[in-house]
Amino acid sequence: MANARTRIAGGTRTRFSAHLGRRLVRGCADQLIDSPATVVALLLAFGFCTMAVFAPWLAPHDTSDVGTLDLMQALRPPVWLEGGDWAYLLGTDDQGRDMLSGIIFGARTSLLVSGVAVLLATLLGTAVGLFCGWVGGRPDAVLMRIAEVQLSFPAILIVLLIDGLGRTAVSTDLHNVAAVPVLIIAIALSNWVQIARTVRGSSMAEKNKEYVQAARVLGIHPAAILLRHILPNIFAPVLVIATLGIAGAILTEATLSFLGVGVPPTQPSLGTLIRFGNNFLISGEWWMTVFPGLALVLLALSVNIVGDWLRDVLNPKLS
Amino acid sequence: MPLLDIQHLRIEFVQGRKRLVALDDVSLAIDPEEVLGVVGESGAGKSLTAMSVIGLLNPPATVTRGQITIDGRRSDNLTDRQLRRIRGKIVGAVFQESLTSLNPLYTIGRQLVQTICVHSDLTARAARGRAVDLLAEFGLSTPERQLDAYPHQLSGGMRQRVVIALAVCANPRLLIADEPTTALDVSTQAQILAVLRRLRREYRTAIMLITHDMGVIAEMADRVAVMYAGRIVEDAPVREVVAHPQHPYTAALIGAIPRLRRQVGRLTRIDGAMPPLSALPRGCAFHPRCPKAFARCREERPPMLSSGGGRAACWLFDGNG
Amino acid sequence: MLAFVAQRIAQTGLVMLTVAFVAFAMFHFIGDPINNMVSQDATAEQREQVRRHLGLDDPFPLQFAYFISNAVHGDFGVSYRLSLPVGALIAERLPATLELVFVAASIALLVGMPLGVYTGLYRRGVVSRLLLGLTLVGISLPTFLTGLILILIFSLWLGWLPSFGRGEVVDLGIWSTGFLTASGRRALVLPSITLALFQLALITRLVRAGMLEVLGSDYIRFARARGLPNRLVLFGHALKNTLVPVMTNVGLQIGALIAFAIITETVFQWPGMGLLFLQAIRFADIPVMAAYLMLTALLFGVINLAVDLLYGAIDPRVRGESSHHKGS
Repeated sequence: MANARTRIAGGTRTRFSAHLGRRLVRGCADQLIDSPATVVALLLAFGFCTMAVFAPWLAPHDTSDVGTLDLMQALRPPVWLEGGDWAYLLGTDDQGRDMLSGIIFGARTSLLVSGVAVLLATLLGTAVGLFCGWVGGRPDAVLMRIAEVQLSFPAILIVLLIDGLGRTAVSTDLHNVAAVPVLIIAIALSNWVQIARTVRGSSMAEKNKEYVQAARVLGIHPAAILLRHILPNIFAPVLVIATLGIAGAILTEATLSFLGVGVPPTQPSLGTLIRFGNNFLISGEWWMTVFPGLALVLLALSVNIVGDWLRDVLNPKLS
Repeated sequence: MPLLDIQHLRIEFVQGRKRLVALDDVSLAIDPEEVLGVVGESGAGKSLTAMSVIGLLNPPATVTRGQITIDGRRSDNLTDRQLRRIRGKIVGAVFQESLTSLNPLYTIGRQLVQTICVHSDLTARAARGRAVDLLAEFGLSTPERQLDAYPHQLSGGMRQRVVIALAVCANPRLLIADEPTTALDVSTQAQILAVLRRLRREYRTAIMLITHDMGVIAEMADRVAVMYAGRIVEDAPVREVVAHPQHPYTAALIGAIPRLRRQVGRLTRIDGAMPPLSALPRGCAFHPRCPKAFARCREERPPMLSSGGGRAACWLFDGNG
Repeated sequence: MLAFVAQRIAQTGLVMLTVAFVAFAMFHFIGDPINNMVSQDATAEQREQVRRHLGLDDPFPLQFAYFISNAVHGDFGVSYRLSLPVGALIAERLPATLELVFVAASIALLVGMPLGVYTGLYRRGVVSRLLLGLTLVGISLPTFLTGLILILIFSLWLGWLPSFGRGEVVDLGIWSTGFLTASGRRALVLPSITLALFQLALITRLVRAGMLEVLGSDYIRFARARGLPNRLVLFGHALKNTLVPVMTNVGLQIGALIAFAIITETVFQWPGMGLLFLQAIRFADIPVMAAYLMLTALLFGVINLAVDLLYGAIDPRVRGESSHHKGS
């Protein structure tokens, strides 16, 4: 008895990019109706990005220019409190630096570090994942074992360690120059595993599908198959993991900067601002801690919400 | 009086403000001891119909119109607690995937004993005895030993028998079997069909046999309901359907069954695919693929019309009933 | 089952060895340890003598073997920064960290798991959606900020709880505990909540996701179709099945608490090993870094091993019991 379905069904394979685009647009439209929180988060994330890109033009003061500092303006509260000044909307720190400008430049650093780190991690993870999924066998086993061991260590510890070793290895003069690249590499290295594992799983599954087998039999170059057929299929899960990874990287960067082992103190970062503010928390200058903290949480939260939304819309099977 | 009577059932996927009609105006009846075959492509609405009977539609799917009567009592408006007295006891159900139907963390003995105890006053020991009897009856060798096995330790055919035993351990009067043989190899399929036949013969259980395999239907069922794109297109005794299919879609399905002895030039094939629910055409949903379609098919949706020994939803039969 | 256990233990051992190698490599390739041991104006002759004395002339594998053997005996060398034996330094601070992590883990598990189950069961409810939103805030709140906010509210504004230190501790032989005094317990409140919050939110989300997946599974639907009562379906079937995939992740999160303790200890000036480690990083104090790394690796190993064994106890498929009786 043959089953009738195989004869009737004439499944068509939709072009991937068009499909993804439609899912995104449709999902977006749905969300606009169903979840205002997502829309707010999207706008917020977009706003932060814009702010980061145009920081030098948007920030009311140039916090990196020591010449403009005025100690007379130090420790000013936000504008709505007594002693506030319209020139310093969110108040100033102990050096007379404008908090709002500090936050804008700090968000720029946070997004730069986490964005570049996650980009590197994605490239590395995708490359390793594709390689493992395609080649299989011993190289795959070795790389995945390494990934497994690394996964059993919390990312923050790995970053701390790599960062710590990085600063030990470079001389003190280089510290301030090398700190940011070292930090980026450390965060990237702590993030590649999850992407590699997902990509490996997807590419293994895709590899055994008929259309890929057919392409192989036809003698199409493996690189072309990877690029044309497999890469598009892993795009959705990678996009989701990378987005959520950015949120994680923002927190990691802030944490390290807060601990004083991340971005050098000369460069504004939300974590560094909070670290300095922390010293004035007890004496009552709460705005130095609370505003950068709020900015940090909003930034991470909006990216997390966007990531969650992408996951719901694209619905990739995540392990 | 039919054992199961479904009248004008409509099921919609309701999400936010959006609605998608998945099943519309479906009427079906199953008499006691009858085997009704339900055929159709994936997505035609077979499983939705079955799930709505035991009130286990998955959330976005909701019954929005029509009524379901089981054994003379309305069941579509019951609470979950009331439905529980129907499930297993009056209507049993078996799903396609036997491996995933069993909880992987418990032995099959424990799952059987638990189910038997819920439906009867038996002690655990007596329930275990009943479980052994059931498994033996369905052709499992060394049933006592099998009780201590975990699902993953059994073969596909054995698992499906365990699943059937679980579904019928409280002697339901109707068994809904949703693609019970699809995942199995051919020889195991035959064994499972034998189990179903035995159920019907010895326990007088009525069966709603859902499949996309016309061959299985021809072999097992008394009557056939053919579904297409969320509607029933033909409902007739199985002999009639096999010998003289009325609806062009049924005819194409029958034409697609290969036969061993008979010399047929070639198997018929239906071009195209069933349209998605979100893009059903106007008029008869089958008209774009129908070789006999005419103007009216493109404009109006045909109701169920008497034709041959049964009923078919096709304008070809308008006026000859 | 025995083979499964043996395999897991072997795997843990391998991980430990890898970490030991990394720790050893830190000594070997980063900086010259001699520089930290002899005075600035030591002659080449003196340096060579120290080098020979420390066994730094031995072949690499032999040095590694010595390193392992010393580490097993608790000898991790001398801190560059404090000039004290690292083993003793860590032993002194270990109880503080472990008590903090223990309390935080208990909070994260005892609150996170029920919340996850609840939000999974009633996922359309208002409370669930609110909770889910809160967990999203929870995973967007870095640990250090949570700590600062709690200090600001409960120590500075309300003055209810201490903002730093361990309070009074009682020495029980080699273990100093803060559990036995009122001030010790009070001192634990804010740090442990701070440490627990992020993981609590994460565990809630993990358990919820697992619960949703199980509730949508065929066997739960089949259990319902058999007429099993809700209570039995949820607590007899769904809960246990949720636990299986979630457990590994939860184990990892408990391990992560040890790492995040570094941050909490910094914020609250909690005298644990995390604080020690952070200072070691700032001052490139490699012996302390290496020892901390190996000790945490051991703790992770123990946690993961425990999770794996529990996994094996719950899931028959993992035990690798072969076919029961095949054929049909």
